[in-house]
Amino acid sequence: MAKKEPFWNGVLAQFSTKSLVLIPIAVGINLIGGTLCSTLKLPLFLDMIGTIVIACLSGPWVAALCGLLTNLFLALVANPVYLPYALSSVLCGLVVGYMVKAGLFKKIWGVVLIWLACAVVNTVTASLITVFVYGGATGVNGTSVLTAALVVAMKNIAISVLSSSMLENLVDKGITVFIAYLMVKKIPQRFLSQYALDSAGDATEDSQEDDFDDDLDKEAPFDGAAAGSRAKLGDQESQGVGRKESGTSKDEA
Amino acid sequence: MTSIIEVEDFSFRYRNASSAALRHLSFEVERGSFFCIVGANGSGKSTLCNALVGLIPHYFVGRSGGGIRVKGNQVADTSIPELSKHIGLVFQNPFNQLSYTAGTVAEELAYGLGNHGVPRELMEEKVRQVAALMHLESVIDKNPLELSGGQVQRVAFGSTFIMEPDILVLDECTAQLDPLGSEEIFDIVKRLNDRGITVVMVDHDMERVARCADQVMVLDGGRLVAIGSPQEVLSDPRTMDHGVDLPDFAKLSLALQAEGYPVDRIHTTEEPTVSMVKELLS
Amino acid sequence: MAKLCVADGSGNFLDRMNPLVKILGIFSFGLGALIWPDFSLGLVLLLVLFLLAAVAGILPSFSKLILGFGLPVSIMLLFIQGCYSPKNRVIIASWGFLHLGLEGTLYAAKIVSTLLVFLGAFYIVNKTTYTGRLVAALSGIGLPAKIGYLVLASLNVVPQMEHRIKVIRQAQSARGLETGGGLISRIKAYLPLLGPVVLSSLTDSQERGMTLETRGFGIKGVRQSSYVKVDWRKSDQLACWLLLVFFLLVLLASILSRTGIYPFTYDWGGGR
Repeated sequence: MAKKEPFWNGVLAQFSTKSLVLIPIAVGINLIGGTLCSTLKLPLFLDMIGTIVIACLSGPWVAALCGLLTNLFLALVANPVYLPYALSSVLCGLVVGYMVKAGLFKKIWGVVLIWLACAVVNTVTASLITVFVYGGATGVNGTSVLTAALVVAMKNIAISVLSSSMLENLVDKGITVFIAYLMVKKIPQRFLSQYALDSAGDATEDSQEDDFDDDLDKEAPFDGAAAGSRAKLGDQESQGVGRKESGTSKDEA
Repeated sequence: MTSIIEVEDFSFRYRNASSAALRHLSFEVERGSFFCIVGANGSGKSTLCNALVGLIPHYFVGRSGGGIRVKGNQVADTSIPELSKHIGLVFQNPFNQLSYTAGTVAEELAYGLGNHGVPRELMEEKVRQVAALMHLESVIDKNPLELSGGQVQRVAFGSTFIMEPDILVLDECTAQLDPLGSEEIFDIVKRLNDRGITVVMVDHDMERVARCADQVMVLDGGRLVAIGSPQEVLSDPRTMDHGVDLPDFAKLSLALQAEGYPVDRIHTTEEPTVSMVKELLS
Repeated sequence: MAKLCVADGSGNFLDRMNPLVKILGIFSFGLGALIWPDFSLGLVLLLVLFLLAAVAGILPSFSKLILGFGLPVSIMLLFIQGCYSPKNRVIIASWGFLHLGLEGTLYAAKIVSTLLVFLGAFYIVNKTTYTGRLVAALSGIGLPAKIGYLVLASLNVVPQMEHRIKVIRQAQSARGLETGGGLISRIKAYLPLLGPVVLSSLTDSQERGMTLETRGFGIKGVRQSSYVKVDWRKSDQLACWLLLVFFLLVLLASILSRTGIYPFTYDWGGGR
């Protein structure tokens, strides 16, 4: 119990306003990827790009929520069939989020690892949902037909669903992770550094000699005590105004 | 007169930024006054506006020094919702100032009140008042996302003003609007200021600043480089060294002076300039 | 979302009904069909749903959803489960190498009918409920403001983003940019479109967050109120009781017939 509490506090800290406003945007990115595939008649989904981008910015639990909302949205405006697959979106968000948090998004082999993990998690959970909720087919995509063909060949529903989905997922998640990687690289540093999971930036502020005047008058470095002595408002120092680090979310991350 | 905003040696640097956005700012804003902030792009105007309403340090991450007090409340120690009862912010992009949760303008206006738990009857009353003030009665039941930029900006204004703040911070709030929409907004600002609301405005329209401001502050590279009455600041050619244009009237006076005409005073607004030119011509 | 805003509490009784009662309706119908031993109740409920869709004036689109989803999935499941389910004992039809089993067919019918009841009920509720009202009702019983924000904002932001993409796409094709052609050229044409829209949307979100914060979003220790009016009428109370009683009766009947005390359902031979 004593171990659990800081964990949940950490999870809740991920849901700052700054992260929450990203979620609708990420849901939008997911859906645009999906609709683009259908307008271009590509045999793919690409409906997890936003989830991966947000995992890089705001962490695993926000990404999980993003996945849940994407499926909820699809269920509300497109087809309720998508609702049960929320489970696989949520799990993918969590897995990618924790892998990004471990620093894997910075290295090429790490990105490959994320791709494979994402494909496997999605395949297994989505297949389980297809088998147990829908009895093997949803009738909404080409995978169902492939599944049916495999059922004929292999006579086992679960294995058929799994193998037809694995093939598709490897290709789909490969492209998804690649696009998300390019996107995160393109996000301005100024924006990225406002988020707790600053995975793409290497500079850490704490190591810097901090000084508000670094590129101008070097002779007057900023200093908390000096600020207090110059203060006209009498009680300013007592209120602890001096030097303050407001980046609390960084420490928690 | 008493000060409603006191900024004391305030500095701020965004996390991982190579240089500070604000450096050792100290100034005060008087209650009921019209305070203008001018400066080139990137001089720290928007950062200062965010700091006044508490978005720095509660929303933006970085390192800050010094302090800001709004109506006696230390901003760093007061939550943004608490501050929003005293000070409101309207900024440039109208569509980024919608809550995206409202289906109608009325709901949008009421959004802040709902968050503060204001009862529905009182909410309806206030929405009616603000809609009248912002000329939004005709679109009150429309979806805010379907309105024009000028209308949305008035909705944003109303949503901020419905909290009844004593201070309005306006960060280039007319920059994305056409001249007509811009004037409509500005008329409302002027009327609110006449009613005793303190206005802190960032603007690029120097004629307007010269006409309306009680005080003008010039920022350059995050530093306060000049502060004073519009007459003092905007008639001084040195202001232009900081990337700030002077009002055309001041430039006219300066040009006449440079040509050797007997101009004893650099005027910044229309009327004295006209009478001066008349005098010179006669 | 204009189409989500039409139902504002006026109009037919489904529009006026409290959103919470409607959600109860989804679960009462859906779970009822799920626990019932065979597909018969699901079929009956589906008929009721068709009736409700007709009352709500959305019969054409409702039928389209049910048939568009129901037919293909029925055929697929009949094929997969009916012919290849390991539970199959009794063969009711044979064509060449295909042998249609009774148990698999019954199982497929049960899945399809339950799914369609869930989907149909969800669809009707979705089409007759203004989302703002639904969120206001849920907030009234303790839904966190942050969740309410996410649902409403997603519904508003996503169409806006799609609109922006469409505008750019039209501009591109007006300039004669190739949008047809092979797979690679199509991808090449579209990828550069996505970048700017996505990046500007992300940076816009920062300002939207500023707006929310200054309007008191995430305020602590205050119970939020809403401008949207959500009534709880006598008819809502009645509907609420009816749905609960219906579900309890189904539950009772299902238990009785599954334990074999009193079979309410016809014995199809194989059964479950």
